[in-house]
Amino acid sequence: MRKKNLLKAHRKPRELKKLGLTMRLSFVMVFCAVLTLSANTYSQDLRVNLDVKDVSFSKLFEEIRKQSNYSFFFNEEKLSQLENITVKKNKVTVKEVLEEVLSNTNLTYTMVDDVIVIISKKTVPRVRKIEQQSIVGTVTDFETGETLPGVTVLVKNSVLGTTTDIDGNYKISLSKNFETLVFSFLGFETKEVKIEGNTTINVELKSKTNQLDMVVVTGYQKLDKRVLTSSIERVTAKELELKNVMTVDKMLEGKVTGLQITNNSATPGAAAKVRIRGGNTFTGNQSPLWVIDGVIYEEPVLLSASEINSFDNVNVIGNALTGINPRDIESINVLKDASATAIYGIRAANGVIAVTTKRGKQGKPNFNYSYSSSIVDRPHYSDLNLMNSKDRIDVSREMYERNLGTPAGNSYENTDRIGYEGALMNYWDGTYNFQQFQDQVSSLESLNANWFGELYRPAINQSHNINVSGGSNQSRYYVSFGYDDQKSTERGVDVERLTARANLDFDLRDNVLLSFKINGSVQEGTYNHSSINMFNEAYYTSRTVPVYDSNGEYAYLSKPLVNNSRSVRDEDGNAVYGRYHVMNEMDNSKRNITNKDLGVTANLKWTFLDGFSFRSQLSYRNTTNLQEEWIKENTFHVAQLRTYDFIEDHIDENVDELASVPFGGLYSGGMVSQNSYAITNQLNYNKVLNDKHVVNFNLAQEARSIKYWGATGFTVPGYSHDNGRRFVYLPQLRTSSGSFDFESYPYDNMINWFSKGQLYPSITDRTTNSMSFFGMFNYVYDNRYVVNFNLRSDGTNSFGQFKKYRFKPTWSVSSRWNLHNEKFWNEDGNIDELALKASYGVRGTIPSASPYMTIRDFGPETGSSYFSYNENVAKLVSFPQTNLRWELNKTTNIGLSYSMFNGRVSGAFDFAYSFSDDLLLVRPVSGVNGALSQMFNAGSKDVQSYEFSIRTVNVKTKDFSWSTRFNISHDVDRVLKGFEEAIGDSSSESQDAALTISQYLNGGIFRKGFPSSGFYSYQFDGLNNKGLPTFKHLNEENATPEQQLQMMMVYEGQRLPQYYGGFGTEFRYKRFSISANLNYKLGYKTRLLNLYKGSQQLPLPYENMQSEFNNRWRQPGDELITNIPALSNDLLKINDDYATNSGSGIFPNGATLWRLYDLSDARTVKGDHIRLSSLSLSYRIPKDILENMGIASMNVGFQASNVGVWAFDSKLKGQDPDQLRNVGMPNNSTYSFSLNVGL
Amino acid sequence: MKRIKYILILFISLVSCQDFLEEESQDLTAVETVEHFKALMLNEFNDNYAMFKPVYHMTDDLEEITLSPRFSKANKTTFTWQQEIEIDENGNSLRGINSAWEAIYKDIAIVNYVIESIDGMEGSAEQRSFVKGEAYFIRAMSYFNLLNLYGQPFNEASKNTDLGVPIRTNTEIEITFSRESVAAGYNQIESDLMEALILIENSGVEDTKWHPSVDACNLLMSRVKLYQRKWDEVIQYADNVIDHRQLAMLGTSSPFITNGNSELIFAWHKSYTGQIDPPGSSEIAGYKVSDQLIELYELEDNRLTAFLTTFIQNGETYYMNKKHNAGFEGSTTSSVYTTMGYQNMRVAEAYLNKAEALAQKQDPIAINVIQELHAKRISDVSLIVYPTEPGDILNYVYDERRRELCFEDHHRWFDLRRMDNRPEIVHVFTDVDEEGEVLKTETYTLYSNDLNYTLPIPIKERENNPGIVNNERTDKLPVVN
Repeated sequence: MRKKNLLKAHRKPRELKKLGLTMRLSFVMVFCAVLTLSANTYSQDLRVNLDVKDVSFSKLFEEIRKQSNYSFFFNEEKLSQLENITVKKNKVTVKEVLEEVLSNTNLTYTMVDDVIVIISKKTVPRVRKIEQQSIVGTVTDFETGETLPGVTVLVKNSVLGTTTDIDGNYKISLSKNFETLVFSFLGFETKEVKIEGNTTINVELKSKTNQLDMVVVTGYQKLDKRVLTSSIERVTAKELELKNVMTVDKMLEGKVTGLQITNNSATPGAAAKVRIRGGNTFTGNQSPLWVIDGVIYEEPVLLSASEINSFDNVNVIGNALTGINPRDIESINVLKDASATAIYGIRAANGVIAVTTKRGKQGKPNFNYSYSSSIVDRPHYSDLNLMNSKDRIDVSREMYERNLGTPAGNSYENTDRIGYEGALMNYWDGTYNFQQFQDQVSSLESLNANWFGELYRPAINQSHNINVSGGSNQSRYYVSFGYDDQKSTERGVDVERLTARANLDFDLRDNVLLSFKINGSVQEGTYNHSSINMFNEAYYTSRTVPVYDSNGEYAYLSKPLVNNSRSVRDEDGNAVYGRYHVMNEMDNSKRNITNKDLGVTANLKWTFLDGFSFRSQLSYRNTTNLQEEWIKENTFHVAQLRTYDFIEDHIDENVDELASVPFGGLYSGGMVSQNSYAITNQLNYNKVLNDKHVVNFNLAQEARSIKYWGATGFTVPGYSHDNGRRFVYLPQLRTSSGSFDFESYPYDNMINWFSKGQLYPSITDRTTNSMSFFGMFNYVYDNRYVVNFNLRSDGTNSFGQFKKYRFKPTWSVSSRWNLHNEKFWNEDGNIDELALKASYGVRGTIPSASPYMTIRDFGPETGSSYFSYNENVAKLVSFPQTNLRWELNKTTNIGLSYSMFNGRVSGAFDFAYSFSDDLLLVRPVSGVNGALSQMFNAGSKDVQSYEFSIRTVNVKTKDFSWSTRFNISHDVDRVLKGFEEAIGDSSSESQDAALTISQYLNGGIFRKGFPSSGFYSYQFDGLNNKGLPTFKHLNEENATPEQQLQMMMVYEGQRLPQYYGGFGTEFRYKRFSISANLNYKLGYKTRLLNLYKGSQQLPLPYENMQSEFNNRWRQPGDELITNIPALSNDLLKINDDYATNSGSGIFPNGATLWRLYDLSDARTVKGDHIRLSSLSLSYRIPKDILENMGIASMNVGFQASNVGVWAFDSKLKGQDPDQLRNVGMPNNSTYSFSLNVGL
Repeated sequence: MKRIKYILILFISLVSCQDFLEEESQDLTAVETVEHFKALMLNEFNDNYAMFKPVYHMTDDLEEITLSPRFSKANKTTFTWQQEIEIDENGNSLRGINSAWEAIYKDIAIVNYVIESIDGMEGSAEQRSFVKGEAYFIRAMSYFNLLNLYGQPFNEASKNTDLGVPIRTNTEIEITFSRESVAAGYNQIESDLMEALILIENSGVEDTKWHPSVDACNLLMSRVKLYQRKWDEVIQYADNVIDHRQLAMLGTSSPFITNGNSELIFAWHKSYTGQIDPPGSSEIAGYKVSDQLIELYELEDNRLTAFLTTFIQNGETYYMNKKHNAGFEGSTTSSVYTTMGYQNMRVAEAYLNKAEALAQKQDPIAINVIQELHAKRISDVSLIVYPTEPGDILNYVYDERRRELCFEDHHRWFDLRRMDNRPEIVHVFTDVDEEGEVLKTETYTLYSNDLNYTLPIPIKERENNPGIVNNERTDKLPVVN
C-alpha cells in the first residue's frame, strides 16, 4: 500500500506541517484503497504515452500517474473485478484514455483538481441531474470546544470527501441523495451524522483520550470503567487545577466523594490530613496508602500512628508525596471499597490513592512549558479579632484602676517600662510629669505597632515546568522538569523544589513492551528555628510595643531568664534578664529540612500465546530526609540556656549550676534514609469467547523490602556560626597532682545535661520485608454482567510478627450489572451508562504488637547512678501479646453509576457500610497480669457512607459551553464497642485503660454510640456578679468522678464533618473560560481560639488580647449582657474551693477556671462552612497571533484561591473554622497568574 | 544492590520465603538469649526494686517533725493507717502510693516468662541454669513481699483459710484473679526458693553481688521459715549462711556496704527511682527518726552513727536515716553508707534469724548469737547488759532486729506484723499553717491486733478485677486537740 497526501496539492505547505502525521494516518484508516500521488501543477491538456499489455486497471492508472502527476482515487475492490486491459497510444490526453478504457465498464470518472476519482457509472448521471446541496459546518473538540483543523469529512457510501481548514470549518457539495457524513480524525472517535436537510452541520468529536478516561488504574491493573465492579473514583489532571500548591493531596479537597482533606497549615511543605470514608481503626494509622505508578510510596520518616492521625499535629518534615510534581500527574484513582483495595492486602484497610503519571504518545515531540506565579496575602489584624493599642491601653488602665497588679505568680518587673504600666511607673518615680505621662499614653494609644506586617509578608511563589513528550511507533517518551519556589507569608520560611521525571516506553517487539520510569526530586525547606512560634509572637504581642526604637533598631524587651524551669538569679537574689526581640531570634537562627527522592522503575510486559501476558515490575526508591537547626549565642533562647545575656557579665556559679549551653550556640541535626525495593510479577490471561464471554485471570506475586535507617535529634552546644560554622570544644579537665580536678570544672550542669542523654541521637534502623501472593478473577458476560473476585495474602517479617497470621488472606467479591446494555432498559440509546455495582470484602490489619517479650537498650547501663553493675542491662518494652488477632474490616458497597445524553449528565450514587471489629483497645485487667491494662481486640465501629455526585454539561454550542459538577458525602461514624470506663487517670504510673479528659476535650472518645471524633465541653453557667466565669456541676457532693463527669460535661458533636463535598462550574465562551470551585463541610463543631494563654488571665504589659475582651464584664449587671469575663487577678485554680473530685483526672492537670472557660460550651461553634476555594479565568491566545512566533498554543490564566469562607455560626466572627486552635495560622487568599506554552 | 540480587534470586528460584521473612529489627530486640534475660531482670527487678515506698511511715521508727507545715508531711494516709490509703481526707486520689502491687506483679510476669521460655534460649547450660535460678529467686522474693504487704499475717491455725494474694506462675492473661490462702503463698515461695537454690548451686556460677547466690537463697529461706515459725529450719538455713560468711566490723568512717564487705551477700535497688521514704539525704520531708528508735542504741553502738545522721531544722536537731546515702565505688567520706545499692542482704540477718528462733525455743544461747553480732557492732561490748529471762531475751532480739535492720527493705513493718504481742503505735499529726502556727494536733493509734496491719488492695485492682476480695480494715479517726 502506498499512502500519499491527497491534500497536499491544494494546501499551503506550512499549514500541512501542523496537520502532520495525524492526517495521513486517518486516511489510511478510512479507506482501503490505494492513493496515488499528486503534483503541485497539473494541466487538463497534459498528454501521455501509454504502452501496456494485459495489465490491471490499477497498473494502468499507476502508469498515467507517473507521467501526468494526476492522483487517482478509487475503490480497489471494484477495480480488481475488471479484466486486464491492453493500451497502446501516444500523446493522448488523460481524458481520452480514461473515457476509452472505462467505456466498457460500469465505471466512470470525475476530475477534482488534479485528482481523478473513479466512480460507479450508474450514480454519475444522477449526480449531474439531482439537485446539489452544499453543507458547511465546524468541527470542534467535545471536551475543550476548540476547533479541529484537518478533520476528514467524507460522504458515506461515496468517495467524496474534504477536510476542515485551520479554523475547523469545512464545506462540501454533494447531491441530495447522500444521507450521511462521516467525520474522522486521529485520536478522536469517528462520528456519523445524518444530513436530514441541514445546510449547517456542526460536529463535536470526542477525543479517544476519552477512552483513556474509560480506564481505571489500580496500580496492579488497568480496568475498563465499563466493567468496573468496585468503588473507584477518578480525578484527571485537568481537575487538579490549584496553581499554588506543591503536593497533590491538597488539590483533592472537595473533588472526590468520600475523601476528606484537611489542610491544617498554610506552611509550605506541610502535609494535609487525608481520610477515606472516615477510617477503620482506633489506634492505627488512619491515612490511606499512596501508590504512584504501581509503587507504594512510604513516608520519608517513620512517624507514629498518633502523630499522623492527630489533627492538631502539623508535619513539615514531608510526607510520601513530597517529591511528586502534580504537573506530571495524568490521573488519580481513589480506591474506596474493600473490593478495590483487597489487592493491596493488609496495608489497605484505610483505602488507597493510586496516582498515574503521564506517558509519551506517538508523534513528533510535543513541548510544553508552563509557568505560574502567585502572591499569597499575609494575615492582617483585621482578620484576627485582636485589640488595637487604644483597646489594650484601656485594659491596662482598668487593671491599674482596679488595682489588679501583674498576674499572680509572675515575677515580670517591666524593667523596660513598656506600655501603659511603664508610663505609669515613670510617672510615679518622677521620670515623667503628668503632662509627659499623658503624652506618652496618648502616643501609645495611637502606636498600633504592626507586628503582623513586620513578621509576615505577602509571599510570592513561582513555578516553572517543562515537559516534552512524543515518540515513534516503537518508542515513546515523556520527560519533565519542574522547579517550584514557595515562600511562606511567615518571614524566613521558604521551600524550593526541583523535580525531574522521565517515563520511557519501548516496544521491543510487537509483543514486548519495556518501560522505564525515573524520577527524582530535591526539596529544600528553610524554616524558622523551632523555638520560635511566629504566629503566637505576632498574635500575642501588644500593639503598644514598638517593633523598632526611635533609632530604627530593634526595640528589645527584657525578659527574665529561666532555665530548666528554674529562674536565674544574681548574687543578690534578683532575677537576671535577657534582651528579647523575635526578629533578632529569627535573624540568628535557622532550621533546614531537605528531602531528596530518587525512584527508578522498570516494567516489562510480554504478550504471548493467545491471550496471555506477563508483567514484571522492579522498583527502587530512596528518600533521604536531612534536618538541621541552629541558633546563635546572641539570642534569648541561648541566653536562657547560658544563664546570662549575650552582652552581660556572667556569674560563674550560675553558669556552673544552671547553664546547659555555657558558651556558643546550639546545633542539632539528624537524617533518615528510606530505601524500598519491590518486585511484582503478574501473569494475566484474557480471553474473549464467542464475543460474549470475557474471562480475565491474574495471578501475581510481590516481594517488598523497606528499610529505614538514620539518626535524629542529636544536639550539640558550643556552636559557632560566624567563625566558619564550627564548634567550640569543652575546656579540658585540669589535673592536679596527676588526677583530674572535677571540683573546679566550671560547667557542671552542662555535663549533667549531657549525661541525661540530650546530646545523643536516637537511631532508627528497621527493615520490613514482605512477600505477597494475589489473584484477580474477572468474568464479563455480554458486556452486561460482571463478576470479580480478588484474593491476597501477605507475609511480613515485621518485628514480632505473629507467625500464625502470615499469609492470612484478604479477599473480596463484587459484581456489576450494566443496565444500559439491556434492551428493555435502554431502547432508544439515550443512556450511555447505567450500572449497578455491589461489592463485599474483608480486610484486615495486623496488630503491631509482638507475641514475644521485647526489650530495648540491651547493653551497658547508661545514665547517671552512683552504682555500676559493669554488665549488660535491658529495658522491658512489652510483654508478649499472644492473645491478639487481626483488626478486621468488612465493607459492603452498593453503587449506581450513570451517564446520559451523550455524557451530558453523569455521576454516581454510592452507599457503603463498613464494619470494623476486633479493633485494638487498651482494656483494664487485673494487675496480677503484670500491668493494669492490656491490649485487646475489644473495639468495634461502623461507618455508613452515602455519596452522590453529578456532572452536567448544561449548555454546549460552538462558542459557549457551561458545565457543573457537584458532590456530597455523608459519613455516619459510630463507635459500637469502645472503652468500658468513662474516665481514667492520665497521669498514673501505668498506661491507663480508660479515656482521659483530654480525649473528651479534644476528640477521640471511643465510647459506645458516639462518633470516634466526638468531643465534650464543660458547661458555662454565666458570669457571676464579680464577672468571673461559673460552670455547672463543678461542685457535686458525694459524686464519684464518673458521675460528676457525666453531669459536668456536655457532648458537643464531632470534630470531623458529617457532610462534605464540593461544587464546581465552568463557563467557556470562545477563547475564554471561567471556573469556580467551592467546597463545603457541614455538621461538625470546633472551638474558638483560646481567650486565655495557658493559665494566665491577665495580660503582661507586652501582651495583646483578643478584641472580644472589649465586651468584657466591667461592672455588676454586665453579667446579664456579656459572657466575656472580667479582668481579674484571681488565679481561680481548680481545687477543693471550686470543685469536687478536683484531683481525680476529670479536669486537665493544673487547670484553672479560665482554662475551663476556653474549654467550655461558651467557646465552641458550629464549623459548618462553604469555602470558595478557587476562581479561575483563562484565555487561549488566537492561533494567528501565535503563528508568527512559531508557537502552537498558548494559554494565560488568572486564579484566585482560598478566596473566601462563609461560615454560618455568627460566633466565629470571621475566624476560619479550619484554623487550628493551637497552630493559629489561617489559610490566606492567593492570587496566581499562569502561562502555558505548547510548541 | 545486594538486596535486589537477593530478591531476584529469591524469586527466580522460588525457594521458601522463610529467609526473606526472617524477623529483624535493629532498634528493638526480642528476648532471645540467656544474656538478654539476665540483663532484663537486672534492670527490671534489681534496678527499680518494687518496694512499698511509704512503708517506714507506718512503723514506729518514724515520727513527725511537729512544726513542719502540713504540706511537707507527705504520706499522711499511710502515716495514720487510713482505711483507704489512696484517697486523702479531701477526696483527692494519691497516685502511685499503692503501686507496689502492680510493680511486684510486673516483676513476677517477667520472671514467669523467663522460667517458661529460658530452656530454649541460646547460652551455656551453666548460665541458663543460673539465670533460671535467679528468676525463681526473684519470684520467691516478690511473693514474699506481696504476701506480707497484702496478705493476712501468718497464723499457723488459720493459714489455710486466711487470704493471701493471687498466684500467677504462667504467662496467660486473665481478666480476673482471686486470692489464694496464706499457706499457698508460703508453699509457692518455698518451692520457688528450693528451685532457685538447686539451680544456682548446680550451675556452679558465682556472679557479682548484684545477683543472688546460694547464700542469698539460704538467707531468704531462713527468713521465710522464721515468718512461718519453723524454728529448727530457721536455724538450719541461717547456719548455712553463717558457716559460709563472716560478719564485718562496722566502722563509722567509711561506707559500710561495699563490694569488698564479707558480710554483704546480695545487693539490689540500684536506681533511686522516686523517693524511698524517709528521704536519705538532704531533703527534709516533715518526718524524723523516732526518739524510741534512737533510745534503743547504746552510746557505744557504732550503728547509731553508721546508720543514722543528724540535721538541723528551725534550730532543732533531728535524726534521719543514712542507709540511703550512696556514693561511688571508692567513696571514702563518712556520710556515705553504701556503694552497692540501696537494699542488701547481709549475714547479720542470719544471726538475728537464728537468735530469734533460739529465743523462741527458749534456748539461752540466743544471747550468744547476738553477742557475736555485737562484737562487730559495738566498740565496747563489756558495757552492754544482756537479759537473762527467756521472755526478755525474745524482746531483746526483736529490738536488736530493729537496731540492725532499720530502714532496710520492709523489715520493721513485716516484723511488727508477725509479732505475738505487737506494741501499740501512736502517731501524732500536727496541722501547722504557713506562718508556723499550730492549728490542731491529731493523734492516731495502731492497735496491737489492728486489722490495718494489712494493706488495702489497690483501688484500680479492685475496679479491674471483680474476683478480688479486699482486706477488711477499720476507719482510723484521730483524737483531735
